[in-house]
Amino acid sequence: MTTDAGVMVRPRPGLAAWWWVPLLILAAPLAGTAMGETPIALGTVLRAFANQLWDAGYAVDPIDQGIVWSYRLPRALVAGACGAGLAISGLVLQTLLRNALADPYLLGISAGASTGAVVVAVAGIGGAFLPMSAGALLGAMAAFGMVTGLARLAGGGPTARGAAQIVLAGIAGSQLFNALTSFIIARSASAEQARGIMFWLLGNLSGVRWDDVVLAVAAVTTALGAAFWHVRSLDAFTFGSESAASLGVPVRRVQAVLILATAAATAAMVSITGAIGFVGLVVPHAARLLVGSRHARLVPASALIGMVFLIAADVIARMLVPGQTLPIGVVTALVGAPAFAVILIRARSAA
Amino acid sequence: MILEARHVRRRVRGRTLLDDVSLTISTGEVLGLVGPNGSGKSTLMRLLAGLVRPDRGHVILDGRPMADLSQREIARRIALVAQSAETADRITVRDAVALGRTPWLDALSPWSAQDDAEVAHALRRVDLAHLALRDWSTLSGGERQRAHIARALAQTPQILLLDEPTNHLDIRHQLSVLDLVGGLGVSTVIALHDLNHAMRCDRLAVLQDGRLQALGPPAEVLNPAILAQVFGVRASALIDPQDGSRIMRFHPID
Ligand SMILES: Nc1ncnc2c1ncn2[C@@H]1O[C@H](COP(=O)(O)OP(=O)(O)OP(=O)(O)O)[C@@H](O)[C@H]1O
Ligand SMILES: [Mg+2]
Repeated sequence: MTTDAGVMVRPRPGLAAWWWVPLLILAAPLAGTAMGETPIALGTVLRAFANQLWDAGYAVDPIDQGIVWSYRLPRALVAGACGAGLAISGLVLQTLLRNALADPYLLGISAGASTGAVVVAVAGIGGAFLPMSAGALLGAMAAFGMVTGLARLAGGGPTARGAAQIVLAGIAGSQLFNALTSFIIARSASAEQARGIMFWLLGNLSGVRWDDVVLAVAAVTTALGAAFWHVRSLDAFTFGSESAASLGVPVRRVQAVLILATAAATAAMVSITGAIGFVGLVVPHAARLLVGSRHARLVPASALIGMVFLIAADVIARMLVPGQTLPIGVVTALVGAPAFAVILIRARSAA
Repeated sequence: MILEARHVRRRVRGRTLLDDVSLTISTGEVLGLVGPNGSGKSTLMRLLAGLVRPDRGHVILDGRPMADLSQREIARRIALVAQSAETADRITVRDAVALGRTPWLDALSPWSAQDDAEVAHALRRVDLAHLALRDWSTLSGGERQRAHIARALAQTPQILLLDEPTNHLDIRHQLSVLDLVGGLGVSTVIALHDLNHAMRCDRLAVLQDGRLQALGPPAEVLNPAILAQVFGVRASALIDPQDGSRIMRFHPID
């Protein structure tokens, strides 16, 4: 398309072109609920919903009713919310740090959140006053502060070498906080507690309840809301933070708000599911390949892909080994690690 | 719109990058900034753009200290083309230029037809309209430089700060950028290395080791004493028979 001024502009699709987005948001958890080792017919799933939501009184096997409503649906919803939230967190960190390898897992934020959550859960510090998610938030902030501080001292920044420094600092932070977590478990947890916690640390959706759905949805809404509010500011970081400042973006404030929002979301998610790796790293890159680098598209695209990806990963985790549910972190790592290798190689050749 | 630096000093880790520099950019003038590598030109630009604060002295925009203005208020008046700004992101030229509209937009005031018009206008002014949909990564160095200038123009600033905008440009586009700057009617500070180009500015400021060595009309400022002391060269003047203008040839002093 060409305007009379002779400058080519891209035609903008109207809102109507996006009808499939709400459809996808409804369909993905529905599919995640229907699929499993014992598949439940979609009709049964919908009838079970209707029974629960407005006492429709359809005849559904009470076992199926229980599986759908108390087990699989909350699980699918938490998976979807966490997938979207992790993807947004990764995207925001990649943009703000100008680093293709940034994500909450790699930067040690998830490890810090795990430590915080374990401190509250096992050591009982904070007692009944401090919920696990608050402990996770404190841990996440401590880890992020430590990692960025170390990265700064080591000369981390938006250059190729600086990017490596940030990632190395993230690895150091992850190792330290993981060691702290192990130390606390070894000292304070009973053998049974320890087993449960180790399983949870791998990233796990077992035992997810409706309370967790509320927390996960709140977390992703916070991260999404903050990212959507700042799409233009995020775009302005294209040529670096100094360029963003010269475009009128209050860089420090935007960084503080967005990093706090994503760290909070990550912490909430870690306190529910443990640290799930690679989603925050890989999904934004996939979204960039599909919709380009402008955040008005990238933010929703990352959220949607993250949601679908983690719901699918959970289905795979439940179905891959008959009679056994794998930790979801194992599945995301199986997919994510090779994708990470590809990104690493591409980041090198781009620099 | 008047931009003024009053006795500004900037030190980083005990090193003085800029010391006691005072100058005023008045409405519509083109002020050239010259000096050897590392003399503090880019540092002064960043101070004038409000990106860093002086640790002594003030930068004053239209009578108000820069420290009292928000980043957005500054960006609506002042646009900066930095010496180097690169991205690995996959964006089109048009998207890059559209970033110039950032200070005029926020979450509640969306992109409008006027923004489209400003972007299109800016692209045409730097002769890049035909590349609007090209990927940034496919541009040549000079095309990128022109796109950065278009981005600054799309900001519709009253003051333009250009840090070596002729870098990477072929000779025709160097001249067209200088012509563009001269014809904008926008107050401009432009850092240059080519002293013959610098002669076209209304006034010149000469920096050396972070200090202002001279400020005034180019013909007065680029005198043999300054050329020898600051740049370590002597000049012989030639007259262009076509229009009678003076051109300098430079020779090292040994
Ligand atoms: N953040 C910093 N920390 C330490 N030194 C710095 C910093 N920024 C700039 N410098 C130093 O300050 C001096 C002035 O730098 P500046 O970039 O302003 O020079 P310039 O006049 O723009 O040079 P050029 O012509 O090469 O662009 C240089 O010696 C540079 O090394
Ligand atoms: Mg410079």
